[in-house]
Amino acid sequence: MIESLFGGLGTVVALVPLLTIVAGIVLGILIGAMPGLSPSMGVALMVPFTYGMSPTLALILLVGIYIGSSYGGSITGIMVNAPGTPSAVVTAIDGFALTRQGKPATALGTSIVASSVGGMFGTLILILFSVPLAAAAVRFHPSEYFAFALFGMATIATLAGDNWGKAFIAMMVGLLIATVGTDPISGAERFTFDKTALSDGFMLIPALIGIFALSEVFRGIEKGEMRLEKLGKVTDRWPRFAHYWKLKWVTLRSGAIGTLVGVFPGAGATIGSFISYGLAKRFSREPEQFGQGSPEGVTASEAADSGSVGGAMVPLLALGIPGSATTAVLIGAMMIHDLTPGPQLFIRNPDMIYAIFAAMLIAQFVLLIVGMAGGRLWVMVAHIPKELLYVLITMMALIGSYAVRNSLFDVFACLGFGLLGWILRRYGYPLAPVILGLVLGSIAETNFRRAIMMDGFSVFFTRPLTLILILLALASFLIPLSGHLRANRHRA
Amino acid sequence: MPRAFSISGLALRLLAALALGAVLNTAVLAEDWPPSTLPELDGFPSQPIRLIVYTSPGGLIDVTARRFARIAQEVADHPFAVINRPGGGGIVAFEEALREPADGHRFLAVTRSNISKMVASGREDLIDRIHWHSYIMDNAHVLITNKEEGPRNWQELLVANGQRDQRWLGVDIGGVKHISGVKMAERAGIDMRWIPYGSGGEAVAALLGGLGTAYLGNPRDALTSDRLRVVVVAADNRLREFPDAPTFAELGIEGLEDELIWRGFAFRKGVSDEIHAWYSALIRQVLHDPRWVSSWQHEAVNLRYRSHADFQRVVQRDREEFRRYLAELQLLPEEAESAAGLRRLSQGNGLFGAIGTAAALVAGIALVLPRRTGRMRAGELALLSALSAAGLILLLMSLALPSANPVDPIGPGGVPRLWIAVLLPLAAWQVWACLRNNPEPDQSLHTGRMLATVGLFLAYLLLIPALGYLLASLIYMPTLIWYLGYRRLVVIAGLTVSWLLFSEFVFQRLLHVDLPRGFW
Repeated sequence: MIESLFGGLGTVVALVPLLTIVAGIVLGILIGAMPGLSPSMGVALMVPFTYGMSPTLALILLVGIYIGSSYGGSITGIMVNAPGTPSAVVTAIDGFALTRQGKPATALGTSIVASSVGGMFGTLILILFSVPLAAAAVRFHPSEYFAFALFGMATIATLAGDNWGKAFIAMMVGLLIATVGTDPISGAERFTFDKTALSDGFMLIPALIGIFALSEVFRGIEKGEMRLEKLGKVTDRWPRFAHYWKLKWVTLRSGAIGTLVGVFPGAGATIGSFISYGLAKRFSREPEQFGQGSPEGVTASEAADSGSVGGAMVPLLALGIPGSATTAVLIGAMMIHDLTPGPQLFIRNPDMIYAIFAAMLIAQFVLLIVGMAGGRLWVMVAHIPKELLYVLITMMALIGSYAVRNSLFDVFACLGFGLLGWILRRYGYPLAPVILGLVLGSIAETNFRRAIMMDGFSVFFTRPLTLILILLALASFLIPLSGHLRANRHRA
Repeated sequence: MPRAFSISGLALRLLAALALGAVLNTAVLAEDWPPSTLPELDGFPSQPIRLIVYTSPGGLIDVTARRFARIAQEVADHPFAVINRPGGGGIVAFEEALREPADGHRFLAVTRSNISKMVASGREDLIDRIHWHSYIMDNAHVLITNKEEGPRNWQELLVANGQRDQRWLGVDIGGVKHISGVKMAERAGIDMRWIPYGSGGEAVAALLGGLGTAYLGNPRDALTSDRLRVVVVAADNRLREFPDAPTFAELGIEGLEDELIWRGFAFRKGVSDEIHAWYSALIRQVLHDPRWVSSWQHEAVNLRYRSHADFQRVVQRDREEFRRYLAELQLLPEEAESAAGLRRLSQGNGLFGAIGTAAALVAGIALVLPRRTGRMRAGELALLSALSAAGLILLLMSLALPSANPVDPIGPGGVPRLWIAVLLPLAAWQVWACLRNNPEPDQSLHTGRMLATVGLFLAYLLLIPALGYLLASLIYMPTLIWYLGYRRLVVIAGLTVSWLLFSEFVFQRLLHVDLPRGFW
């Protein structure tokens, strides 16, 4: 394997492949940073540009875009509270809080290093353990997927802060919104009011932009923050090595969680980000900083998000099945280049596989360099006068929502979500639980019902792994809750 | 502009395609041989041609469209862009095609799944409003098992049926594959339970994990892993790629020779005959292109061209078949068990009714409470009552959803009811907490200004369909910036123009996002 990997490095360490990696990362970051363009859309958009390339070069470019765009979603989340991807919602919680404190460089620096290290970790896991991991992942019963989603939802304990009731209500709102659309099991139309645009439910990107970015604009205007010239006085500098070193365990742990969750087809990066965030708070010496601008929070989310890229590539390369929306596009791209994805690739095109592995490792270094250099540009967003920034955010909200499927309905939905976010925020209801419910609701419901269809209600008690995961999820939720109730009683 | 082929280039293509066609199980027939050039049309094509795909990027129809677009743009010497418009199993894409002018610059990549979805969702009107232009390929459905743990052949699959009921993994309930599965199980006397997954990939993963007896899918799915085995083929002949897998007819089961998924192209009705002829020539040229033929040679696909009249007949036949089976399975809208009054609530203007009811309730509370409780507290109470009202409305609507049944013991209404059952007591508890706590002093807020901003944004959105994105934005951006108090005219103008240029070049031209043009 080591020789093969060196062989792959030999292929990639040449001018054209290296330039391709740089181009992929830069394009990916720009795509990820643009609300409305998800990593899968970004990769799909670039497929036609690879027609003239060799299959290896084409895949290097597309994988570079995947890696870059997975990180890029956090930039707008940190700078203007408009996460470009669902998993960047978690990054935005503490990232934007840091920006509001005038520390955008700390947030951006932390996120890029965590992304890069987490991504490297995920790639190494992919190279070393893809076959056994994929074999284990496919054995997971829907009941275990349900337990995973439950584990993700237990993060509510972390996001709740002082007011559990409000956080729960916010999550229930998200869970209810997630039930709109065609029921994935029976095919029945649920709460769609005969609107075609609702047949697949509310689109996630307009919901993200509305709940976070538009509500931020509305809140700022309502609070009369227009007269301030800038978003916040920028007080910090780019972090030094010691800052990142302090975060090493959070980075590695979160990278591992993101990678492992990413391996499971359909689980997605968002669950990994939420779970990592919850665990990071639990193990932190400064848990009270979470939600207020904790670098550990930014690290946990970003390392898990980037780790999930390597994880999602595991079932693609080991089994030929997509682990995420973006790997589904990569499979399509492989077919267009007349490659058969899956284990056959290791037999028929081993050089190409190891070249991709090598490219993924190098891409993480390129991401670090490009991200650091670009970060200095992004920090300048903090200097834009607020009146202009607010208007630009509304324009981004419009075009980002519209671009998802050329529909003005989604733009109106985005405005609706913006008003919902504003009113929830106004009365102290946290917003992240809404997205937690929105993203995990569907995964939880589908797998819950699928598990029962397969093996009845008893499956949740008879499969040891399911039971353990459910008990762990309940514990990670109930222990902080009882602590909170005890603290309340002491205060009273 | 259309490109004329050189004699030698064409001869080379002919030879290559003939050679490949002879080897492959394809129906590239001599009488279908296309003209060597495309008809010259005045003013067409005058803009990039968009091929709309009804799924997210990645699936087989998306790959088909992209392979086609790649060759078509060379043949026509004109840009083609593949646009993904997922949603409603094709309804979103079809409606978009129908909204656009019938100028032939947009066409749809369609599959047999669209027909089952339109029938299942009661949108057969869309089938009638579409011109089914060209049928380009199909592939048989196959039953796939896990090579290491599953049945090794059809006989073992039947034996497995004697031991316990079988789980067949697949996608969509009521979709093409589900209907095929129902027919197969019915004719073979198998007690089958269909377990729907979100995508074919997830279902194949579950099969590899030993979670199902078989997966019903495309032959292509079995080509990805050496741990999968095709046990039976729903076609009239064995597949070249799976010579050991028998057909149903060989096993003595009749009537399953034509269980397949087809793919093709369609237009909205109203496109001129000349443009249709242009596309017919283009499609046939692409289908005969050696690159097209070779790209499918290991995919167990039948490449066969059928023109509009034939294609229309196939669509009608499928439509009737889906109607029959979906009715049997009680998956047609009118067959679903429902309370008529509640169903009306969930249709058409019920949305506005629901919002209106909730808004009236909230307005009433907002009018009464502020005097007693303070503005902040009243606002939160109004929010909680709005959420509770929305919960109650959804609870009522959920009663009109199909009921739980032995196959799906939770049913589509079960989980929403569970969430509502948690939300309502939580909201009540929060109301109690809100009333118990001392109200915070009202902050100094500029709610009027914020609402005016929302109003401006709303007005802008409403103006876009009439004025178009560019003109409406040209009015909105400077107006809002000015309203918010910024007065440097040069900066305002520069920012507005820069944003509009960015939108036009990046979104409209590069990413093919069709920004509304207005009534101009």
